[in-house]
Amino acid sequence: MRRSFAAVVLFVPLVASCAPVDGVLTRYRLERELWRAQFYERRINIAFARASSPDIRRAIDAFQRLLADDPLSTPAAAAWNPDVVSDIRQLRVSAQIGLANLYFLSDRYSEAGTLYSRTVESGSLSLHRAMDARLGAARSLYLAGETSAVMEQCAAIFHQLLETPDFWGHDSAVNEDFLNVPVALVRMYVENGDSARANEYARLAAVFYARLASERPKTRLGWQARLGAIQLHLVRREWNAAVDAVDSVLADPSQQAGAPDGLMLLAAEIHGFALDDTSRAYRALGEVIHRFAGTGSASAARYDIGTLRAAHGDPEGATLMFRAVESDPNAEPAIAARATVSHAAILERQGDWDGAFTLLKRVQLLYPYTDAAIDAPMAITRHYARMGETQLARRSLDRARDYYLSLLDKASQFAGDRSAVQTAMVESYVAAGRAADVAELLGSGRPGWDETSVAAGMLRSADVYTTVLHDSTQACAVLKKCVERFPKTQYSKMAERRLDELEGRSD
Amino acid sequence: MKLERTLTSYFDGLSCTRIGLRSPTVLLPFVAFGLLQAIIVALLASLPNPALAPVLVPVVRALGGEPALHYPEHFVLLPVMFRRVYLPLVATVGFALWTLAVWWMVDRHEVGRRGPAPRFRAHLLDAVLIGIVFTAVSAGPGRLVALLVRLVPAGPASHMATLAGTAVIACAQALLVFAPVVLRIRGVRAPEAIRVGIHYARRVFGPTVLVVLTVLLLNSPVDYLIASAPRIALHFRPETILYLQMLSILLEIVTAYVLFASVVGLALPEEGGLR
Repeated sequence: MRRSFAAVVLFVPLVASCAPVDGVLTRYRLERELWRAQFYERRINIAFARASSPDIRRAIDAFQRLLADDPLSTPAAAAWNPDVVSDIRQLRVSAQIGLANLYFLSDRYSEAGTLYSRTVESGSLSLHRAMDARLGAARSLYLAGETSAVMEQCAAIFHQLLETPDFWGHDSAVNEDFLNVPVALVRMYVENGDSARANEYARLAAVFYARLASERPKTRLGWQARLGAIQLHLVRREWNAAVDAVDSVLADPSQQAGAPDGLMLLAAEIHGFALDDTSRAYRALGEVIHRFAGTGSASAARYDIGTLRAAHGDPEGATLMFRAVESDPNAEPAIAARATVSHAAILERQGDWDGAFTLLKRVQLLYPYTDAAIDAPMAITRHYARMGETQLARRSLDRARDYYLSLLDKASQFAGDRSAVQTAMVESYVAAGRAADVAELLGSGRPGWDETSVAAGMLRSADVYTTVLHDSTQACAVLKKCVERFPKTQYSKMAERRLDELEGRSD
Repeated sequence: MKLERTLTSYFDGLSCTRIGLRSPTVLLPFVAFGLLQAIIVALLASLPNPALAPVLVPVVRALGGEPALHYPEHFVLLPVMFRRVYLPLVATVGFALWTLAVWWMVDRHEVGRRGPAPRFRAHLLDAVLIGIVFTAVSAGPGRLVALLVRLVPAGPASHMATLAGTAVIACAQALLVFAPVVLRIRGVRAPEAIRVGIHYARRVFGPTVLVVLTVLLLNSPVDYLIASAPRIALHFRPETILYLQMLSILLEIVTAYVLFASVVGLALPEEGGLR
């Protein structure tokens, strides 16, 4: 009797406290699956430079399994605790973003873009998470070649910035990258030739930057907004307004929009190269040289003066400036290399090919990974071809080929624009009369190149077949190869568009 | 000279652990308590089992709070939850079983066999009372030391605080550890057993502290790993914490046996001792 009483005393409160636990168990199961998927993701992040493909595959499978199971769609979910339901919803959002990131990492941009967009549309995200997801969608869709979808996402980000009270609250800490979205959007509409939308968004962007600059004066966000307004003027080619905006920023000694020497240089370059107001440009560049003596900006200003002088028929004055930059230890390698190549061009025009040749070789030797060095072999080949020196042209082209291939190699230290290398290679071959060789070389998809270089090479090869060799059959073959090799990417989209144009033309 | 005597007594005490090889039945109470603990840990880890969940969810929530119902926090908090069950368990069931083992070890000891043996059942409550006092004086300073270590900045000072705390715990345990042997030898009640035990412990304090420190030292690597549960969960599978907790239980079977067998050895030398 006493024992059964003890049992009742012990177990009745325990059983009474046993509420339905389906929701808790489901949440636990999803958390465990998410943890396992994120475990692979963490391993991938640790070895980001060489993400292991089995880990990526495992992580993608794990996230896909998690998302395939939607417990909230079951009737039982209606009875679950609201906190548990909210947790499950957030878990699914985390899984969607994780999976979209992995799709992006494995170059499945179209799927990544769709998933990011779906995540945003689910509407259960905070402002920051929603913006990050939209930015992810925009980047993925851009790489997937979905230009209009990119603009839609950018427009959505912009509208979200404009309309969300959280963003305008003084304690909001939004990633400054988002402030570039309005100007990027206007640039895309301008490049697409949609002037109506470009004007509409330019107006909105100008209001946005002005409001941000006035509501957050003297803050980092406020200065970024003023820089955004300057970029907006540049995109719209409103040169005078751009110079005024730069001057207005520079007038404030506490400004943090950008380094003052860079901003002064920008204003001077607008005067010299866009407004063709050389006297104001020389004055402004002289001020940069005076105020920032011994810096890279002073060298850049000297290079600009040299370029302006060369363009206005003063080769001697230009040479003086270029020489000063060449011998300046503070000059940035890119500027020093560019000055050397410009100096070589003047010498070539003056008939001093030996002097020009020496300078071009020196650039390759001293600054092999700069844009100017990439132009140097092209200038040499083009010179010999123009002079009819076939033998020398062929030999210099062979050397140029070796140099360009070394830059395009995946293992190369070259961190610059590989597309510019391919352009220089094409121009060198075309100048030497060997366009077919370069078309074949770029279309072959060399194994030592990264995927971007292979895809860009195929598209460029098709261009050479079409525009130089007038062989649309070969061009179509290369484009089809590109579509097959890089499905659902920006490259396949571009190849498909060009195929449509070519096939439409042949029809 | 005194150090030599201390070390001789210490090794004599440790040599008494051979009793388990001659009579493995003395190990049974330790194994039984280990099994009980393993079952409890396994149950606490079985939260996601749908058949057990209706009972386990409120229990886990009571022991670890709402975070313990989430993965991987459930495993991270497993040592904390288990400790909340372990303290009352070791004070009652654990000490009762270990006292029973002491009873059996003294029964098999040459010196212990010489006197009459009181009935264990008659002293069960005394064993539990001693267990409660022993657990309180072990856990109390342990808690204080943990708080102190948290207040002291990480580095040499914190290591010193940990060492000092360990020494305090070892001294407190050394003073009380003879009480179960006194119960068996003299057949007195718990308060008297504690008083006599402390009195005797002061006579053989050095070797007793060394035995207790040996036991604490043997446990320390696994204890350290369990204390690093959040890091283990982050870098490995969170389930590793469950395996470590099981390993700790297995280790405790050995260390508790070593402690009490050595204490019986120290309490019953050929001359003098608790008689």
